Amino acid sequence: MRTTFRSAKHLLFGVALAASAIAACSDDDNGGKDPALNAGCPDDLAFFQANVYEPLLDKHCFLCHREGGLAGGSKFKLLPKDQPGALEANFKMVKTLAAEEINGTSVFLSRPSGKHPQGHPGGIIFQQGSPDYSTLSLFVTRVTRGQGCAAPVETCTTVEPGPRILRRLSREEYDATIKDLFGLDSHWGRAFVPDIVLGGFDNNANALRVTPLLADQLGRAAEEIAVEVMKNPTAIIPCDVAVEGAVPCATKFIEVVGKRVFRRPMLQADTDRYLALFQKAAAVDGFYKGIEVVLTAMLQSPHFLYRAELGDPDLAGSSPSRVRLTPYEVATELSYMLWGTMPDSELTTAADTGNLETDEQVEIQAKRLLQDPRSDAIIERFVNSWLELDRLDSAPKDPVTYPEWNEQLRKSLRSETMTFVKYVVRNGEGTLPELFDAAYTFVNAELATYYGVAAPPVPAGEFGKVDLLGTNRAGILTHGSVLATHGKPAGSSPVHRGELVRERLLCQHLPPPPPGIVAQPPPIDPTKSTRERYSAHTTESLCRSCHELVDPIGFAYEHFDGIGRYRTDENGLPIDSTGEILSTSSTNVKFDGALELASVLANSPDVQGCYARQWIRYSYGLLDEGPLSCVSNSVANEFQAGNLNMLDLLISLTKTPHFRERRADPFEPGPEDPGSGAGGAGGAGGGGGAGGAPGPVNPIAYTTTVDSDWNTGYQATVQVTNIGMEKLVWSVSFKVDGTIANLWNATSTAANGLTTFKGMDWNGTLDPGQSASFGFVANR
Amino acid sequence: MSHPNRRRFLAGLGASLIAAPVLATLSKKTHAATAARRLIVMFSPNGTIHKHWRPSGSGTNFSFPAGSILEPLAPHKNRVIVCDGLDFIGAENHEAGMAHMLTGGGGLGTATNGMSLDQYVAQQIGQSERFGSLEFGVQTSAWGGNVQTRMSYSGPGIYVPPDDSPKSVFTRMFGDAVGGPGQIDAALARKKSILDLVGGELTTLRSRVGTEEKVKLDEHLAALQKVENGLQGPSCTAPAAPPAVGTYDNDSFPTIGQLQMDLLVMSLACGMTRVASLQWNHTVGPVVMSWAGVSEGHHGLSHSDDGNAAGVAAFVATERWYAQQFAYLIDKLSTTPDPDGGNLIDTTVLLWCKELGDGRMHDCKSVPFVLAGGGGLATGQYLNFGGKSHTQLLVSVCQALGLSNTTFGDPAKGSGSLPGIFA
Repeated sequence: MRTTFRSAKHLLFGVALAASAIAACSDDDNGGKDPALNAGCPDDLAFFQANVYEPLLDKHCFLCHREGGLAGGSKFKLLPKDQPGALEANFKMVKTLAAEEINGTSVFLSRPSGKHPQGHPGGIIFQQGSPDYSTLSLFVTRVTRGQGCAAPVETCTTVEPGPRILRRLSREEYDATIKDLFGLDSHWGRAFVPDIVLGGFDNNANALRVTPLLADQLGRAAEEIAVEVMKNPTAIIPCDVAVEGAVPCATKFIEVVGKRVFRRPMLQADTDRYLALFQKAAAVDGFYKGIEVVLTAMLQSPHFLYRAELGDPDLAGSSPSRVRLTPYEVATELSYMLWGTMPDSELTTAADTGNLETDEQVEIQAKRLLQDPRSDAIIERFVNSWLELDRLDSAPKDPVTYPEWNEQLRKSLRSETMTFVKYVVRNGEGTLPELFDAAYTFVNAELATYYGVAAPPVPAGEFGKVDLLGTNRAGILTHGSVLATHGKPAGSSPVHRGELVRERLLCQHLPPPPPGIVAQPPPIDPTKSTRERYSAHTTESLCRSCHELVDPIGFAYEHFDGIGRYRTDENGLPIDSTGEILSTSSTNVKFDGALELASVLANSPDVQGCYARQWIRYSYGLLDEGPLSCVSNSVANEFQAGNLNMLDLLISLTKTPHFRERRADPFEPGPEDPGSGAGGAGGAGGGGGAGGAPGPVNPIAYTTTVDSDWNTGYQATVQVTNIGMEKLVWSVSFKVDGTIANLWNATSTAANGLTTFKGMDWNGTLDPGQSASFGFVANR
Repeated sequence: MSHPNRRRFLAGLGASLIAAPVLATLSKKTHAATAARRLIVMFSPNGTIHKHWRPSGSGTNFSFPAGSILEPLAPHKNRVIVCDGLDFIGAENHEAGMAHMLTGGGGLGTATNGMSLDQYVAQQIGQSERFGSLEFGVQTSAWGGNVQTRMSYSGPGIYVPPDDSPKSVFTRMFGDAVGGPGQIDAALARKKSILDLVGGELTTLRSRVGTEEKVKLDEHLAALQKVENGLQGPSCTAPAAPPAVGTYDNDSFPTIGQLQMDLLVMSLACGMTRVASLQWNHTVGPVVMSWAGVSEGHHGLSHSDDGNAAGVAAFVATERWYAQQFAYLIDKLSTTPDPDGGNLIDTTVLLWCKELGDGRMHDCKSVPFVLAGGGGLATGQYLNFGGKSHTQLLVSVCQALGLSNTTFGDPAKGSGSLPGIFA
């Protein structure tokens, strides 16, 4: 059996080589009928372009893997997208890499996932098990094995919604919700342990976890809040216990308050559960203590802490692969997205009465919420995270260089930016370009001095609008808040300011500096300007490969010191604020100074698309890629092509297929290994838990990832890990959905509805802790 | 000598508030007569400058040069092992260094299942304590949680966040100790009923969600289990509550650190936990140590080239300040009684770790470590391991605590303890 499969493996490898040889000659590797020659799929190039190149390689790899880039010397070197013939040449190069294998794995998979023997020095980008890795894996299967041809080319003709998720309340949402529930000025949330930041925001659904520390903090907050609330029980208990009796009144409390806390009506089982808790506590400590315990529990309930976006299988979606969110889930999504807090009574009533069923009904509510000043809070939070202004207070500044830097000034700077943003959105044109190039801002007397403009005619301490025409500032990026946050403790910072534009405005992620080179920021030298001191970044080629993407953008702001004040010269040295943007899709231009750069950014389709993507991340609590890549493309394109109005963008986010529907859960190979009990089968992206318990016989954990599913078939990758203490020969058994059409890096036998997989000579034996992986394509 | 409650460990899948099957890796363990019973891990960021860090001499015949980074440890020379020449194999730079420092790479299926040293040790020896471990932070999280700001892992990619607020730590340690014994017991019983209800809700909800969300709810359940383990009455008289300080005010850094170190030692002395970590700032951390006469951020200073004498001197000053803090911990443990006799220093292993070697090079070669305390360590030495994997140091720490694992993290990087480290 093994010999047979090993031959098959060799045969396949031969096919892959043949395919690339033909490709090199004729660009046509699909002509023959002989399966041995027909290794690729007819639409490999289209698949490459739509699934691999544009969303992944161009976006994540190109900045380093290009001529002159940090990884410009590697075999994987991409031509710029706008160069004629780039697509075909990049395709050919990647196909060759896909066919190159080490230990049975294509280097096109092992390198970016960090599994290659030589690692991936620039950082690991595509983790095995991630959707992006799965896409690369499917591409390799197609071009080297000719399998998986039925997998769709994702041209985004159908924009599919994202997965069913649970979104834990962020710390800010927690405080806002407690305030709305009980009228308390909640300080508890902001004292919770800070959450993980993903994609620049701390509200990503995948990152909002409950750690032991947070569970403890949530418990203590719940107790303290319940005690506060019960100081005035008549305000919260909707009945008179003396008149109605303890149990009926407690029941009413649970139903009425529970509906607000859970953001949905209480089910009978919910009421029963909390009533039982009430009775247990009330029996010992009386009615009011019983109510307090119920409230304490509700505030730790997953139904309070998580916003469910799970949908209801009984509500038919617009296609069999989709489920619809419940009206209460839609109300909650709207409210947290546009107000950052729980639904108000009008939204809840809309859900109660079936008035959140159509796009039009949702739009009516969305517009109502956005017109309400309560939506200011969300816009503020977005801007704070987007431009990292939440770091303003902790940005270290040297008190000797900047003695005027204090809490009062920071407060004024924050107020300026928020007043400005609100004005642009509410009273100005409301467009993104205006945010970048508006020739006005808002100052109080203190900031007027700081900026060197005439104080506005408003009462002391208040902010008034001032004209910036003829000054050296325009738009939000010349605000002191932004410039100081992204300045150094004792000076300006072309690197940090350039990085802000590159990462947050152009959505291009930069790798960290490579190891092994001296990475000293140029020391302060009074005889040289900052720009001169940073010149090593452009003369040393290793530095230049990345810093040419950053410093020349940041030079635009050299007229602003470390806390954002304007300077005509730098201690007597002239300032050169010319610069250039390189390696973008449509913004490769030169400019002189912050005003010209503001105008470039205001009119850049790259920046506009990126802005829309940032809002996707923030509003949906998911990254703008993977399952949401088509939704994101669609929203970004619509925004670029439209009126660039920032509030209209938010309305458009409520109209995507993702807003009211979710993908039905994908096929999950079950843990049906009879030998290993709970033995560790996970679905896509598994491996996040603390590890499966090994069975007594076969201490094997395996995770199965469905790389792609095209209804009539799918490709899966299975990773097998020895979690025992001894070396072993592995095997795993599970029920395979459909019939296996192609299998690699393992053999299989089927019996009693279960398929048993065993490894090959080179991966069949695992040391403790070692892993092997195999894959298959199955037809349904 | 085994710990009855270590079987409370929760497997990630199918987790519930009911004890789950025990992992194979929880078995075998040897308790040497000299095994230490407690672990403290202290981290400070941004690498070092070796020539200002290294002692002179070698072996037992060494000293701390005047003005060098480790000089503040001179009074404790006989209590420490200065570990030189340890590399993070296969990891370079701030982020990978931070992630490898305490985990040794690897992941699920390795002897340590992707856990960091503190969490692995806590799982092995800390499960019968009120807190499996406590994580103390000093301005670690102003940038939120990410690979730069986290060093503790309960599994591959799963961060265990530190608590940056002395007030919050104090409340966790002593908040339940309000009222007389009867009131405390009643309060604990109420909390337990609530946790049971919430755990049941999580289990029910779990059956309605997809695979990835199940993992999320399993983590939540495991977290509640830890909270439930901690529902015990007071074991110590509460000290005065810590004063209010701005958690992220730059100049409060030393005050917060002092409060956290005192609470840390108290948590060990009171038998609340056996494993504590103290994380100062984070990699790339920008704290400006104005109290050490320095005006530039720590990360910026860490990149001072040798030609930049002022920058190097300022960086050395900041590093000496951290050495003073480590010395303070040793001092404190040397004078704090162990409830089981002797002083805590004799039954505790301390490890001061960093995430980079030479910060200017962004590499993880010769990453500086200092060990101190009991557990049979041959203290009073300066050892150079000539490029061995730091995972062998992690193994050595485990063995000092009576554990028998021979690898830590990725087994390919190295196995066994370091030579010359035990008496």
